Amino acid sequence: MSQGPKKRSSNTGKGYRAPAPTRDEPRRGLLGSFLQPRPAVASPMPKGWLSYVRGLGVAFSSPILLGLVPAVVLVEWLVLLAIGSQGPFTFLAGAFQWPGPGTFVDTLVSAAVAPSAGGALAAVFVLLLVRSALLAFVTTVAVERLRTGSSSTWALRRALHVLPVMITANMMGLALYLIGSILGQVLQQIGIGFLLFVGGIAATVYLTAYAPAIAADEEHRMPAAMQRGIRTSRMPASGTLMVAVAYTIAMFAIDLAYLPSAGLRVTPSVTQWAGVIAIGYLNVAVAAMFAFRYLSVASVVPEPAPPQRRR
Amino acid sequence: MKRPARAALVIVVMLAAAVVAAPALAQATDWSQFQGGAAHPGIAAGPQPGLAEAWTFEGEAGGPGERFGLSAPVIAGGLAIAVGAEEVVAVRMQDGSAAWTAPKGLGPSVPGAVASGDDPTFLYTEGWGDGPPAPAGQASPTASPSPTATPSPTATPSPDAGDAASGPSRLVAVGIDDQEQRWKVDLPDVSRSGVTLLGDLAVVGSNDGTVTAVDVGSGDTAWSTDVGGAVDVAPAAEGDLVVVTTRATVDATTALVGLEVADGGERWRFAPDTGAPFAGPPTIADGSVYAGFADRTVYAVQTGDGSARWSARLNGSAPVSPLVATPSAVLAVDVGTFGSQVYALDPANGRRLWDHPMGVPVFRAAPIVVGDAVVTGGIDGRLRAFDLAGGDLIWFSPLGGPIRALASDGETLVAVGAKPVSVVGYRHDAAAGLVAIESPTAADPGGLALWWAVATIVVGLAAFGLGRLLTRRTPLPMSFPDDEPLPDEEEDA
Repeated sequence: MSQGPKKRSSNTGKGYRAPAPTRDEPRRGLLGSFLQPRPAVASPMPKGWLSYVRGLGVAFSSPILLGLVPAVVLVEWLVLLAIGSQGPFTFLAGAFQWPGPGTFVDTLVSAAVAPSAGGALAAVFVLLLVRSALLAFVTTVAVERLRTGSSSTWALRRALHVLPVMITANMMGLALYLIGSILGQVLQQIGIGFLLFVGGIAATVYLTAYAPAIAADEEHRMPAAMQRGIRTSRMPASGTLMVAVAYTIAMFAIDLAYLPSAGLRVTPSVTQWAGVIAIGYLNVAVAAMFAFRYLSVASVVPEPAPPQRRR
Repeated sequence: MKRPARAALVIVVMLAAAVVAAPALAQATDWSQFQGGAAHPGIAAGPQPGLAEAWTFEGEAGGPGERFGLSAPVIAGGLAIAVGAEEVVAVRMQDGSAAWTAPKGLGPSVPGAVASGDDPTFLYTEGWGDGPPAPAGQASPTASPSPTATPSPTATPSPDAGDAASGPSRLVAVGIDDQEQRWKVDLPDVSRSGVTLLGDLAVVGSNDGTVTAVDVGSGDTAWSTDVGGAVDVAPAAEGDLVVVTTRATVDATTALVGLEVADGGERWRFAPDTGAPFAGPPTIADGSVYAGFADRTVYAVQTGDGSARWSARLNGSAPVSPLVATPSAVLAVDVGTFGSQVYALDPANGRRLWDHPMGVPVFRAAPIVVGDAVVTGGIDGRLRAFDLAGGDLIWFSPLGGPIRALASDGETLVAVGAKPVSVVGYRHDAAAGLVAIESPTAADPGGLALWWAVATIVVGLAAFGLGRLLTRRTPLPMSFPDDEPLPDEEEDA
């Protein structure tokens, strides 16, 4: 029986430090950083598509994860029916979405099922907790499979350690979603409202992508795991921003186009079941992708700068 | 022996005449005000679906920007009469031809009412105060006098239309036979409620919260009372009770208010503190008042004291159209994110008997019951008929322009359309195909389990096969740069 990956303290790699600018360097204008050719920076972070293929391999070769998705979708649907909801069933495609896009779906589902504004807020938190627990478990299973090649009960126990990080990530997603919504409404007049709204969701993915994998793989408390996750995202040439934006756009397209497509229906068709389960699988693979990407660079993630002494 | 034989003959002849005339008498009934009566029953004997289009009257949009259509029609004396922004239109129920058109002062397109009698009159409201809501990006136009009269097939002189100087709004009575004005009464504010007739009393609500009752014969104001919030949906009335719905204000919640017919005194007030900003028109039936509120809830209260009987949650937002209360079911149509849904609720306790999602919104057209079916009109222009007993979709019309209102005289179902503005008559047609489509919200546990299992197996196996393929190329566990023992671990060893 697997005992799970070795518990690690933080790595001992050197901190990243930006090179000091030389004197004869030409002064940059407002768009200088965009217009100037970027220096080639070698990054140990795997490319986006390669990462996702690895994530697919990790997720799809796990009978536990393959069984978890349809089981969760079925149970969630039965619970929704029991409390009087009639759909749309395709909302459940958001059951395994990462914080950000998943938060957006949570708000849609809560608005559809809750009787009042207070009830909708409570429903958002319930859905947030459920999705946090599911993604904590999925991430932990992915880390264990990447480290040991198998899954064990360790993942279940370890997921409890990851849960606070995942809840924090989702809370961050909710906060950014609300800020994005408010700013989006305010700035709708000048045409960037929607951009800000989507930007808030992408920012959540960018900031929270690696923290759960860190919590699963290493012995960090929640704040340290979150900070280390953000430092991982900010590593030069990590491509995390592109991954976050691509994932957000893909999920947003699904959320807006596919989710309402079922309409109100108690007995989903076989294609609706298949679609929701397939989208769930693809999202589980995204969680595995983030775990793979973190483990690939765990040894070179910069350490936080030491606190400066007071003079 | 002669006398009994003659009497028997007379009886036989009368019975035969009754048998022949009965269907015609049963079918040709008036729908003289909004939803067919003061209590808003919304029930007609027919026509039973399937239906076929019998005639079409093509109208014109009016008002600033020509963006206002016709109101819900009323039917009386073989005419369907609808109110536009600047004219009143009467259409012959027989063939859909225009009977007359009468100009009116600019005002909301809200239903009028027919007061029958020796001199049948049509009552409607006009006047828009500072003007109608402007389209986005345009300033609201100010109230303007009535435009020139629209040419009418039976051109008649206009009543004193467009007397905008006399106040923000007016209740007007014109003769149906000559379209001459009988009287005109100033109202304190713009009226969007339409006119409800109870005996000799015409009741209208205004945006400032005033409810005004006017004697139909003389045009004298019988009483006027302030109920708080705006009264912008049709009052309902039955017996000695008038019920109005008030919109929420800064210091008052949305409420159903029961008023005495005699003097307008407030008998009771039902105001659930749920934050609903508005509610639909009330319907009175069998000692209960029914109304849908914007908190997604249908409420039933006692007509006697306004106490709550039951409440029922709907999926979507408030029914903005009135409910239809039959002895077996209270019928409501909501407006939800995923289209509208028609509900049948148990009149005894509000329990949901059935519901049927339509997938498109029904914004204005109130549902009506014709025969054994409830009919709705969606913004997709489609009439849909549902079996009153079980909720199956039993008939639907082709798509068209948005449907704004429905009415029926028992023989012809009238649908008022927008874009293009039209009045369409439908009659029963045995050749029109009926269907039997069960509601998608009807439970099917067996199907649910079967489709879930099939999808799980198919998608799961496909994913597992892909996973095996990928892990064959890149086996698990994978090696990572930090797999080597850390320095402190080596020292420990």
